[in-house]
Amino acid sequence: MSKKKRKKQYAPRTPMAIMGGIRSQQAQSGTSRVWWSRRWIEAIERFRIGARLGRGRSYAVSGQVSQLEITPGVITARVQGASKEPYTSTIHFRTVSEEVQAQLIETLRAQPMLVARLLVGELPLEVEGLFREAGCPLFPQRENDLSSRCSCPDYANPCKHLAAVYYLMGEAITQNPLLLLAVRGVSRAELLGEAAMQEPPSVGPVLSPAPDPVDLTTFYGTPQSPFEDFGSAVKTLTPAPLIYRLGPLPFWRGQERFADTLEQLYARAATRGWAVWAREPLDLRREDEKVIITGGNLQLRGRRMRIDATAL
Amino acid sequence: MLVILHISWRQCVVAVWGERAAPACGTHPTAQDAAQVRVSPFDAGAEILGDLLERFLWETESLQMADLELRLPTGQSSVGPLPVPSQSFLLPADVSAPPPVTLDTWRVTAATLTWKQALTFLGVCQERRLADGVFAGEDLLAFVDLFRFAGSLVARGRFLPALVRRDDGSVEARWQASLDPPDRRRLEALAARLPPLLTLGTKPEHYAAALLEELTDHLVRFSVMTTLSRSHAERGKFYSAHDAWFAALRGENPVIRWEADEELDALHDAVALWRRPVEGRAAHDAALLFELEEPSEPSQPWFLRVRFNGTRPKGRTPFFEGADEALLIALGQAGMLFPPLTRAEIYPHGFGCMLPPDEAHVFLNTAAPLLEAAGYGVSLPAWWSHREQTVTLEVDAMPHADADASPQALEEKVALSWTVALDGQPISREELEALLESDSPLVFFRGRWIQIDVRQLQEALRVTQPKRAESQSALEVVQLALGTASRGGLEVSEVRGGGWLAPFLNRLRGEQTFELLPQPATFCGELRLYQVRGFSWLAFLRTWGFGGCLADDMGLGKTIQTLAFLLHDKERGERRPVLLVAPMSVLGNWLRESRRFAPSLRVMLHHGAQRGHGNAFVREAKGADIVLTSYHLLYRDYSDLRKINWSGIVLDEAQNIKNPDTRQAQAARALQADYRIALTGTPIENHVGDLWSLMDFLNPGLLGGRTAFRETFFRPIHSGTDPGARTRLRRITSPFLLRRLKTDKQIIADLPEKREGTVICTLTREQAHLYEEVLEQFRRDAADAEGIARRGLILGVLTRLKQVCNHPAHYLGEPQAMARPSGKLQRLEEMLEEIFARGESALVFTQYAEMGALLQQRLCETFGRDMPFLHGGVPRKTRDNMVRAFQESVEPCAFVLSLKAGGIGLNLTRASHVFHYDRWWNPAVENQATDRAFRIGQTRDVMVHKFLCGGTLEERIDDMIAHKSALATEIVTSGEQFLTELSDAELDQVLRLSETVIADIEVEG
Repeated sequence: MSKKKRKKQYAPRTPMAIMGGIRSQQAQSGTSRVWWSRRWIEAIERFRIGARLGRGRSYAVSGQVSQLEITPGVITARVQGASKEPYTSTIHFRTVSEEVQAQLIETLRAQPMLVARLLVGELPLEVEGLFREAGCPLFPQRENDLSSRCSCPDYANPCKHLAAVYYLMGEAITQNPLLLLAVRGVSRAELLGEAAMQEPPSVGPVLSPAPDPVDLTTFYGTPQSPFEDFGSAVKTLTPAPLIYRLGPLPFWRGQERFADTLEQLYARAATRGWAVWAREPLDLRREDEKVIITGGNLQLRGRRMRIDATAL
Repeated sequence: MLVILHISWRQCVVAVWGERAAPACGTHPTAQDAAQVRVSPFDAGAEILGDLLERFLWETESLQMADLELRLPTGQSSVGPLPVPSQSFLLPADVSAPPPVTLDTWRVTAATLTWKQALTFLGVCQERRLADGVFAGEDLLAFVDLFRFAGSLVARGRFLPALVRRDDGSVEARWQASLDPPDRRRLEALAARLPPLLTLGTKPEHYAAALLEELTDHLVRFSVMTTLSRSHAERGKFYSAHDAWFAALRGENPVIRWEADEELDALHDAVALWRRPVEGRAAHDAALLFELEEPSEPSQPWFLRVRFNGTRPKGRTPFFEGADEALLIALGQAGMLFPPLTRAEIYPHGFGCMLPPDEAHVFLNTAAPLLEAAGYGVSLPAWWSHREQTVTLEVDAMPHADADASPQALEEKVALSWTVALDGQPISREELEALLESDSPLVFFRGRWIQIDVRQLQEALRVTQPKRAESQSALEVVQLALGTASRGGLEVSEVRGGGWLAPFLNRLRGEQTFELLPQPATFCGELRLYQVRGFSWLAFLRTWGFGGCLADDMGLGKTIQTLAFLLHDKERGERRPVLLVAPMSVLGNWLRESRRFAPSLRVMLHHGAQRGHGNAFVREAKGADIVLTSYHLLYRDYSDLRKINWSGIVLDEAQNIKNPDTRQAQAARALQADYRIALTGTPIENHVGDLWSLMDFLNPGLLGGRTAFRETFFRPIHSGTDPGARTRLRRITSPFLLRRLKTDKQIIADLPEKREGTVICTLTREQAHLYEEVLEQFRRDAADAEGIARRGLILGVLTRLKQVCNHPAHYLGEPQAMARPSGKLQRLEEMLEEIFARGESALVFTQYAEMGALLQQRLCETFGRDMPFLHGGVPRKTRDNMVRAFQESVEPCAFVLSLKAGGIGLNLTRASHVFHYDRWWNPAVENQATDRAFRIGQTRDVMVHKFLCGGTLEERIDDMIAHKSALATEIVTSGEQFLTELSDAELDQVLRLSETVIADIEVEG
């Protein structure tokens, strides 16, 4: 009886579906395009994790992780499993000492190209080496390089909930390897120090006063030849080169896939953009708003019908 | 009613307002309460504005009218303070332009547009002239330039989604343009073009940046709105801030509907950080320069030096200390474009990286242009010139048999054999194969290093396989020669024809002069050499079944070249009629010119209420050589016209079919004929969009379908993305387009020094009616008059008849009647439009000061800008200013002068056309006027156009002078006085209105 009960309790159960969780953007079978993400997953695979990594990936794909916070030394996550309450999963990382941190930052700053590459989303091998030599490798080499806990009843560690967190982390560092440094106690802000860019004021069209006096004789403007230097369109493989360049937003929670959806939107927008660029008239009506008018001999639209009627 | 439309964008609202001529100043409300903002007397008002916008927008139900307060330049006029309008002709006639002294606030009525309406409106505003009597102000045109810039950014994908926090705490989902350094320079240039009217009170660059942001957001938003499913949008319930953001990016309302503020904040920061790698550089112009340095020893590596802000970093760390995040991001991105750069480090001699020769080669070829395009500075060794060898094909086409010159000959089979050329030099297959054996794109060939495109060479090798000897129709060879066909994606640079194809192809391409035909025996007059060439060219194309467009400059005689061609065709045995379509206003001219130069051609005028239909039409048309009709009837009587098997169709002023959707264009393309000819004086080849319709009429299918044309030519040319597109288009169209300029050296040599043409205008129904009325009155009055009384009456009737010919408004003395048509006025406006389109200016003379004033006002309104009028009453200083303004004007202009005004020393050499709107009949007086445009400094050739109305006294007196009749001498010496000496019968012969073309301009509208 009790054996049967226990069996029932431990049978794999489907997790409770939640909405709005962080959703993996990688294709199910796809391996990452960058070495450091692959290396991250490989490191996790060595933790006697077995099939739970696959389960964790399913969790990540279906958006079971509802919260994920990265602070120096700790990743805290809330993962929705089979029980009503989400589990709390935490992963602790060894962080660098203050002294080592200062040393690392100094070394990095002496090689601007390394910092530059980190800022545009690359992890130079040299950086990985620097952290390893400092005694604080970016990738866990042994299981006890980090310690993890999950509030789920599963005694195996890492459990599938933790696996989901590892998996999402591996995806997020693809675009932003600085996260790997952050959990080790070297944040972007600390690395850049005074070189950090001020957040540009992201406000809309606020108009500033112009102190310059106005020339009243050219107040209405003077005739000018039309402006024609609008750059040249380089043929690209994607309608959304910037999105392709940036990759998906880390820890994406949307129901629609990030990059695919944006690509579609960019393709539609480009069609309109071309029309504007090439001086074609713009028809912003939806298909169902259009009235098909054939013939007509006027350039002005909208009034065509009326003129035709009087001309006939 | 003329209206100039302006735009305003303040406090996030787009508004359109209009300027029109102020009513007489007596009624101008100056005595308003001082505390109240005065209404500008030039305000177009709600009714006119609403009516106009209705024509430009799809939906106008939601159009809101509001009062807009504007600060405008203001001056003191005789009637108190007055805003200075954008064009001084808008001022009432009795008020002279006050010099602006201050900026004052004035109220105008404005239509506030939704962004959807605004974008539609901007899409329509592509030229200064928006419609008859509706013009765009410079502010609106500058606004549209910014809109096109937004369009180009969106087309190139240079924008990103973002979150923006507003002052009221709401967070909006926005699409933001992402500008790289070249784009930022473009924005600066565009900002500098914005007039103070728009930007007053703000810095132009801030205004431009903020406006660009709005335009980009709304352009993208409206494009993607439909992708949001309705249920999704209406439900408004999202599972995450991310979903709410994605929905708001596609919603009408950009505000993100998500309760948890801290989650929006987190998303805001995450998106900002995510954008950083591309935004970093956009926010800061990182001045990075990459300098490739040659090694001193050939065995040493090259050095790619990285400089920043022009300084050379030394020592261990200074590079980083002086750099900020933006610069580092720029450096990182350069590393992505050219990976070897990621090895860059600080050496004793500077910051940079070592490159082995093969990487240096990649840098020279690929990376340097990439980096340059991305806005970085690049400096290369001086000896380097970046270019790949172009691989083209050459083909020899040998006809299997002889063929007569005819359209059928083009169906004949022709044998093709191909060869390959490298940079224009033919190379053998052996050499080709040797080149392909090299594994590097850099090869040593015929004594020098060149770069090759392996893929192209392989393709060339495949196409030229000896086994692939081909047989094609001659027509396909023609397509290869024109560039409308290619082989294996390679350009066919040379098509050599054998046999009969050789002279044919050479002539088509203009490489060989075609046979000059003798002037047709039945042609009355003498053709100049270039005219013989013109009509021979038409005959050549006709022989092979092609259509051609004769696009000579105005005044070079397109009419008589066409008549000579038609005579030639008739002499060769053509018996079927040709359909000649022309605007109503020139039908009379065609009748007269054909009578004069080709009297053997039977011309049937298909025009007016009495014109035949059905069988009657067919019978009549079959008996004629030319059936002359107007564009209006081309589609109205299409069912009659299509019953005839036309030998050809000739369209005069063919720009009338430039819009392929119009019914006349559709009718013209649908009619069956052996050949087609188009005549036009406007530089149609400059308007790519207009070219398709014309070419498709002339040679159906030549430029492909309309959609294909837009993709391959229109867009690339208009957006400037493919410099080769214009060349390719020219190669295709030039064989069918003959355009001689009056400034061509050859043509000038063939022309008399001063060229004069008589322009026959048609009377409108109203004019004809008035003419008869005046004449009737005269006949009654003159019946009993004698001596001095009779002379007085005759001189009086002469003046009145000439006034009627000029314009009903002139005769009636009612300026408001200028809105009604007159044959002369219409022709003048048509010709001026053509002249302005070429950037040229004109003088318009009239002997009547009243007519001059009417013309000035009318031309200002037609062309939407100030045109000067000089008459006897203009003070010397004003006159000098007028002349200077005319001479220095950037825009083409028409200068109206009353013939009596004048005075000596007027320097009006900017004009290259002179119009005599009415006639003095005294060549000496007319010549003196004409000579004003011939002063020293005149580089252009000048064309003189003398107007007269067909069928009236004007035409008859002109005939007398032309035929040097005995009377003519008298006319010249005594002016119109001589007419008073004629007998009643003689006088009636001169004055009466003969049967002529009466323009139904009212109907044509």
